[in-house]
Amino acid sequence: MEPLACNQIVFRALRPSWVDRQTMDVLPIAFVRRPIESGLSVNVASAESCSKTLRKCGVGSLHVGRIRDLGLDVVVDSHPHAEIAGVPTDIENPAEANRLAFSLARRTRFVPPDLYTNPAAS
Amino acid sequence: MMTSLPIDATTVPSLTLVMDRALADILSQLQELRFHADSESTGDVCASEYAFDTGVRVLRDAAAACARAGRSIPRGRASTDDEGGIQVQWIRTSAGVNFVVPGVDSRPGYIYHEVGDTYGTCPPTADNLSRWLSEID
Repeated sequence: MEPLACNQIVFRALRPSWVDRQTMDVLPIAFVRRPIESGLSVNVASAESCSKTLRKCGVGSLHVGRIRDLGLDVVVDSHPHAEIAGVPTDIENPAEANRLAFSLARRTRFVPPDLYTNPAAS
Repeated sequence: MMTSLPIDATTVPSLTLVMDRALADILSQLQELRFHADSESTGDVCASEYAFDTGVRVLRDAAAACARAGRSIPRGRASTDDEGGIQVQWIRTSAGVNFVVPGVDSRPGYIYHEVGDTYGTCPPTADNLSRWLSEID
């Protein structure tokens, strides 16, 4: 499969507690890989498509190029599903897992639900 | 700023009833994750009793350590992982702290800290948490 362009935007499903309700900043815990996962799941299609991953979830967006800046990559395995590869779990390497999680969180923007539940508004 | 604690003191024995607003807010978030998380519809997992009790104790003791140094706990955000562990995160532009308590006591917790390009982990003690939170604000 073709590598994603650096200006491609990918979307990450966010549980409610993974977003700061006051600032709407995405929290690093959203990017801590679970031991059962091979990478961090993202959606390459749209925020609306991503929002259907979990019930009542939010969506964060970030550029592939900004992920690559960290030495990571995004691999499409089953369109529109892709994974951010190269992230250790915090059991394997807590310092590195958290450094990457904080860096990815800082690069992520929360997508207000009204932008994808009512695309005409955007 | 001082404020009344908005959580039920019977769930946290001997909890001080007056504390700074940021600590009260974090403890309120933890109580919500312990008793009101709705994993069925949102995916947020309830905090385990071990993680909740341990987290509250260390945060309370860290607040006391901060107060002795003339500071207060900065504003932070609590979340749960898939195993009922808790993470309290303070994220700023060039600094961050993550206080991690696993859902079970068989795994060790830790504090992640970063300031600029320097980062690392240390044991999850109240003194360590107070020390690294001093770098946040």
